[in-house]
Amino acid sequence: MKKKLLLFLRTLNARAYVRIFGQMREATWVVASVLGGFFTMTTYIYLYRTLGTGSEFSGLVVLGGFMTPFFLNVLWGVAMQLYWEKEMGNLELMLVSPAPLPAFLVGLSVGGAMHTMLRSLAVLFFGIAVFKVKFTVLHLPLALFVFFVTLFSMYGLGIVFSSLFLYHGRDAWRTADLVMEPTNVLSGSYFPARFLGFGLLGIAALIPTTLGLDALRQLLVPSFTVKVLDWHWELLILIGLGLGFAFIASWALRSVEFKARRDARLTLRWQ
Amino acid sequence: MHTAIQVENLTRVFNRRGTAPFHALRGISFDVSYGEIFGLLGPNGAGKTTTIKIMSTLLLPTSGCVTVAGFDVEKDYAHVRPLIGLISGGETSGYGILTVEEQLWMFSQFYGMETPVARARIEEYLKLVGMWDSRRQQMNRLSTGMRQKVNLVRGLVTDPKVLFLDEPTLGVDVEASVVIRSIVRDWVQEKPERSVILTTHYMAEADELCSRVAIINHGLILANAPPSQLKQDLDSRAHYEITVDRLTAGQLDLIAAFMGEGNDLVLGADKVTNSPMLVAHLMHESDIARLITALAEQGATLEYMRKLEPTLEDAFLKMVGRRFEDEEEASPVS
Repeated sequence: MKKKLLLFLRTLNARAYVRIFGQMREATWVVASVLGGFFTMTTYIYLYRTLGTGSEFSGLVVLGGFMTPFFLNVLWGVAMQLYWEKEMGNLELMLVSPAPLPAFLVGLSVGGAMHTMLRSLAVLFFGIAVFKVKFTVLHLPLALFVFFVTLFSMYGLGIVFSSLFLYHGRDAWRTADLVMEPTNVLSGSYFPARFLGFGLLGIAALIPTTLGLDALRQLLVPSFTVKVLDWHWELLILIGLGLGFAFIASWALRSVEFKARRDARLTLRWQ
Repeated sequence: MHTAIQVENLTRVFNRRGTAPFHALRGISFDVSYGEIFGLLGPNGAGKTTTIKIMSTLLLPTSGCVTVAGFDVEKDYAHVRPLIGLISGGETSGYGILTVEEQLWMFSQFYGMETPVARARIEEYLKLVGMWDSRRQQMNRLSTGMRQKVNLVRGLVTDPKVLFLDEPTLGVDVEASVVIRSIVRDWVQEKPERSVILTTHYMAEADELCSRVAIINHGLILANAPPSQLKQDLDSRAHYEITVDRLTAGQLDLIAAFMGEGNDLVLGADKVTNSPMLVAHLMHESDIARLITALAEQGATLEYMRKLEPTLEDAFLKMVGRRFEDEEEASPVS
């Protein structure tokens, strides 16, 4: 048991290392992604200011800008990762090793989240510094808890998708491309999710960013009133989603690995 | 236990949409002992890589049984994986943004190795392949040969019992190939509980390294024996190529009559000097002395002589009916 746990932790640590330290070597990419997030955020803030909405809208946009890199990291850095690993020829080496597949995915989730945190904090810092957005720090510890539960739930969803994307290969790539924008819209990154209406909110609530962002806005943005649900309920739902995704992910990875071994989908066709 | 790998009646069928099922393996059986370098030779699509992928737990067999170190690769794959290593030729695995040292450390962690132990072995093997000075270089800046040396180190650092080498010197220059071959040979000899399964396109490589080779084609094993035996089975006669200053067809008939039945002599011309060149297929090695005497009696002066040894490629050619270079069939393994 101890040996298995150590193997899990060592694998997690090694895979996270690539994300945290390896990707730091691609400085231009880090700068470009921070600037990209900042400019998107700027567009929405100017739009809301032009429309004459209250100052709380600038706050919710900055929080959206803070959370969006995590969402992108989940989609492209976790959900798509097993597919990338297969394309690079790493997947077969990962599977031939005794390390469990979930350890790789948890490792790249942890590494991805830590790496993304730097970019997200940079976006947040620029948002506060340039647009003089004010947040209340009264509920900061609680907001941090909500934030980490949201991350747990988001990355759990990413791991569920990674198993699907591994099995469906190139089709998954196109699907990820296709769902990126609609999912971004549904999660209410740059507007209050309640404006989606209850029909769409039913679907949107399955994306952890939707309720996570709404709860964070309630806790950090003064005078934010257009909430979906009270943040207590949202937190409970997020915990439920996270545990559910973790359970499904564990089952899906085992199942997909078996099917992929049976149907010869673990290695590249030309190998 | 002396058997590292046991393969019994192994079959694998690939069902592809819109086409008839492809039978990649049609009931092959063989075993590999500890301390052995076992070669799998065959043209593309013969079933070599499919066999390796099944043995290394990446693919399930359709039927049959494969055990590695006594564990069933289908049911006990979790026990098999800590004991094996896999290195493929032309591999671009890992992450280009990592340094050589970081990359090797990362893979060692997937086997649960303690970092100090891993670092010590990485240093030992990097020095062995002559890449210690390049340890801080990023992977995406390495040449093909250097990259393949790193891949070899990756496979050895975790100290597997069974190492699968799938075309390990593919696309690698002569110097790197020599290093890789020498290290593999020494590695197996170092501990008696190690073994290597090698697939290669280079016959000389298989001949040099393997204690036994199986020739596989269309999913069937055509032969399974030491390379020396395969060559010997090809033809038991002794073959010589002899260039002389002069020899007529009439003189050749006289010599042939002297040598007796079963000894064949074919007269041609040397491509470079245009001197008469005799190719002799002799029943016994000792007949060469009689032939030289007969040539001297006919007044022919010997200019050049060499013994023609059958190669593994000749044995392969005889069994498969074509050379590796003639292959166009693509591998069905995905």
